[in-house]
Amino acid sequence: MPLSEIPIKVVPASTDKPLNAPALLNEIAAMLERLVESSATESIDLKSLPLAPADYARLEEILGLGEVSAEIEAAGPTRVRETAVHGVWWVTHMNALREPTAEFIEVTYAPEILKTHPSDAAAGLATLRSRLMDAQGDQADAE
Amino acid sequence: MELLDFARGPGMQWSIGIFVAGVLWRVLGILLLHHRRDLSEPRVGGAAPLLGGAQKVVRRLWPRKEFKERNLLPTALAYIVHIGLAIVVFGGSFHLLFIKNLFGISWPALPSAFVYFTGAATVAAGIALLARRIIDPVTRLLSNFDDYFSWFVTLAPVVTGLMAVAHFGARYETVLALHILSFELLLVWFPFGKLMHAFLWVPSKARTGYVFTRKGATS
Amino acid sequence: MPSELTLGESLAARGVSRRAFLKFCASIASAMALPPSVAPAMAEAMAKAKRPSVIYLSFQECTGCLESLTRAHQASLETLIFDLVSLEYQHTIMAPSGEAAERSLHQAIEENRGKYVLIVDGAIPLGDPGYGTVAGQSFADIMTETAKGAAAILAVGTCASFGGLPKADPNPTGAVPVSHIVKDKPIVNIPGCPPIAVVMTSVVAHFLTFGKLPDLDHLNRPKAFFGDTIHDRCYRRPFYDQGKFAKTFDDAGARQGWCLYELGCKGPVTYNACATVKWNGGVSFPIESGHGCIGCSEPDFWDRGSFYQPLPMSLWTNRGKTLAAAAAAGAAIGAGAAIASRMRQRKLVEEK
Repeated sequence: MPLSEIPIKVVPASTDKPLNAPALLNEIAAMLERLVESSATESIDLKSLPLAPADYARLEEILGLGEVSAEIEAAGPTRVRETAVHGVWWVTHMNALREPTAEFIEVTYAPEILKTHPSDAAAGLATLRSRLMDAQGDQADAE
Repeated sequence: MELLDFARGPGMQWSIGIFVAGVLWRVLGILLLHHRRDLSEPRVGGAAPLLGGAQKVVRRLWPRKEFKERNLLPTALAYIVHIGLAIVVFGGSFHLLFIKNLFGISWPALPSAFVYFTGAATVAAGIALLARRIIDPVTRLLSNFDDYFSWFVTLAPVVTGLMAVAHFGARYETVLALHILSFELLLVWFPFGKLMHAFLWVPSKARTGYVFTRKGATS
Repeated sequence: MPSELTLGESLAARGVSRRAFLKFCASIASAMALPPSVAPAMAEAMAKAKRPSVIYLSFQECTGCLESLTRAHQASLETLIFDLVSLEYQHTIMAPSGEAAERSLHQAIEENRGKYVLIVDGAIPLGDPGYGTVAGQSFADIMTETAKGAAAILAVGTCASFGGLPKADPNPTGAVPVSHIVKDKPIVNIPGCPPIAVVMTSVVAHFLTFGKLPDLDHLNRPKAFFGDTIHDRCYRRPFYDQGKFAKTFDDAGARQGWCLYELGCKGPVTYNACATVKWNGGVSFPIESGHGCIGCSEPDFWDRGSFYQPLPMSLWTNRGKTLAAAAAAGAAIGAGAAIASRMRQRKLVEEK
């Protein structure tokens, strides 16, 4: 039998019922309460928790999908989605081969990775000014 | 990890060597002793010598009804310990791997949960026996270092084995090393104390049975 | 040459955006089990830092550790580490060669004395200085001299951490680990044959962010990655607990992914992150691919008996001879004691 035809069946622990999702959702609720009361932002590293596929399904079922969906391209894609629960964001970092490298649930007004950093804005200003000067120079040459 | 390497290496080598040498010393030293031939007439109607010996070995496995009341519970507890040890040692999958590595033979293992439960029962019965030994004034008076130390070296491997399988107590390689070392302590002590009954009970009971075919008690 | 730009500025100059860097820090924080809120702070701290100098020395090694790091993955975040540091000297990947290369080493040591991070892979042979030399200088001398000005030393791979393959019996070259030669500098051992790439980069990232090495265990390994055994985090653990073991490499149990304990897996006594972080960007690790753990991040794992004999196996050899000698000794003493007893009895009878 060639290597590719050897059947491999892995029987993991029972994954029918969500094990940790209910507790996690309660924790997210507590974080959201803190966000509302004191604007305190927090994140949960999903990879650090023992979550079965049923747990992910339950999280997606309860949190749902919201209005915002953003894809960032920086050393591979990163998907940022606000869930149907405002203030709870689901951030999935992937490498250039679209394999997930990290996954977070962020309770915040806007995830850090979406925002523009002040020094990047300053660099952006310099870039724009230089492009405008080049454009004006080209226009002057054309005339 | 160095403790585990020692336990699996030179520790095992020396302890098995001492065990083999010690057991042969004791057994041969006893069996080769001079026995004066009994020149008197044997009784009439006594069993054949060999049969008498074998019968005695079997009959002494359970207390006579005159002694049952006092001895039934300790006998039952002791059987739990002995049979429990046999089940754990010869039925536990990890021990079978050890035996296979040493002797090249193997057989199917018993279910892990059953073996674990048996080990726990063995420890419980062992503790009950120790309690009786200490509480009963007669046994307390009669007990010496050999009794207590033999009890300890027999139960320490079972306790550390249960701890190792449960990954309880310390880092796994440490608990495993302690388990193997406790077994090596048992091997080293074996030839020098009452644990030698493992090899001597059959010859001893057989000899008594043989003597009784010629004179003395009739059963 | 050290860069005068901050780390953030150098990254921007190489086209690595702040967001990419933030992703990198998030992945590292996740791998090191740091709270995710640390990632932005990490990114801020590292971006403002000056790129530290790193000198990478290779001794008795197979280059597997460097391969693990550089071939980690196509466009993986781990290779960003080379953008975060100023790598002054590294045999395999540096551009200059010959005298120019050696000059750059000595220049890097002088200009950054007391501040550079020294990464070492490979063991160091002490049997004869000629066993390993670069430009006429023995490995041991290079190690001692370069260690003097280092802020911290990362011994990467089992060879540098514990001696590894060169030190395996009979150790013909007198190979020793880094910690045997350097006694007065903080050393982190990152063992593995090879180590997982993200483990190496995380330790460097931790050092850059916090200015100190992560928490280490009794063998100087970072606890974040070497705190648990493979067995503790193995996905096949339920089968171990149920007593379902594969007996050969292609039997029904093996095909169903049962525990590989009886096929020699050393997972229960091996500390590493293979079962959680895994290899090749999280694709798999040896047990998931059907082969038991060989214990490659533990000292002297080469000399601990076969990779295919399970843990209960004994390590002693010359078993026939030992048992024969013991049996002979026991029989001799036993028979001797019996004979002595018989002789005494006979004497007693005769005396009567």
